[in-house]
Amino acid sequence: MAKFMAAYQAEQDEAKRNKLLEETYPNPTDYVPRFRALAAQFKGTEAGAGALVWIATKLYGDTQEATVDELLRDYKDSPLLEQVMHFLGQREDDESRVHLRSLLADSPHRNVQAGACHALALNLRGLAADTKRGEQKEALIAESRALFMRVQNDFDDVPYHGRTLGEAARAELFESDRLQIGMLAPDIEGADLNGVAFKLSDYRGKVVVLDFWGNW
Amino acid sequence: MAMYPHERSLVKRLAGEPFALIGVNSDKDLEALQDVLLEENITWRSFWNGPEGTSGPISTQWNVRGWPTIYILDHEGKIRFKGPRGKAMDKAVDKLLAEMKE
Repeated sequence: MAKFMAAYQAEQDEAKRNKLLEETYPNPTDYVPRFRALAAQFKGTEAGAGALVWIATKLYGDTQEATVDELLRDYKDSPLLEQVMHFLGQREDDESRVHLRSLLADSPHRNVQAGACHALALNLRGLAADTKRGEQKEALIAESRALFMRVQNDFDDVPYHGRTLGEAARAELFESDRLQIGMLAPDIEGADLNGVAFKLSDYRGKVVVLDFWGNW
Repeated sequence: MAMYPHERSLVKRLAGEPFALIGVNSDKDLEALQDVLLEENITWRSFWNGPEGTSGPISTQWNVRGWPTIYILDHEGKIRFKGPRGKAMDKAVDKLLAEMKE
């Protein structure tokens, strides 16, 4: 990355700059037809599933959603489904929850069950947030909590985006229990950018915009 | 980075009101950041998330996975809004300030 940036900035010519960018960071969209062809050629095998996973994880929007749907339809017993579970966690359609429930119950692979359990917990929490106060909302919150607990109990050690699923579930439970609208914000104790200690609660009595930021 | 102008104008507009913009900064290099604070006229206070940057303790506890992430708290310290930026942020803050005067 640093090497690329130096070379990019040293190059004055616009066309050459763009060429350098494309060679270093190819646009995944250009490779979709090739992976589509592989998926067709190796349909029904792990290679076919792998080609679809590549497309689903490199592209966004409708292409991603359609590819995930194709994987769920044609490869429901593949261990590679693990890599697309988190997309289902963010979706709002009822179908996504049906898929997650069936993978959690029936996938022959523990890592897929684990990913489905975590994604279903996230999905239901999102649904609860969009549901008006009442029994239904409470039931969704309770089920989401129970699924995060199950992740910790049954799938604690499963790797997940650079950490373990257990760690992710603990962080999500903290968010569910302490960081929802209407809850008293947890206090923050730390030092400011000049090294002076202070607390978030020092600002009680004022309206506070808390902004997690970085200069990038 | 595109948020600085909006934040500056928010802080300026609400000077004298019971309002504070508090940051949690996740830059790893605190020294390099000092220049940015001067250049961008960032006068509001921030916690520093520590040398681990985006993996630091405050953003980890608050389960922050995207930057910027915004929470808006009322004068009692309750979380009232998550995520609003730009005009939606102004509107949310104004609503909470108006509530205090009721």
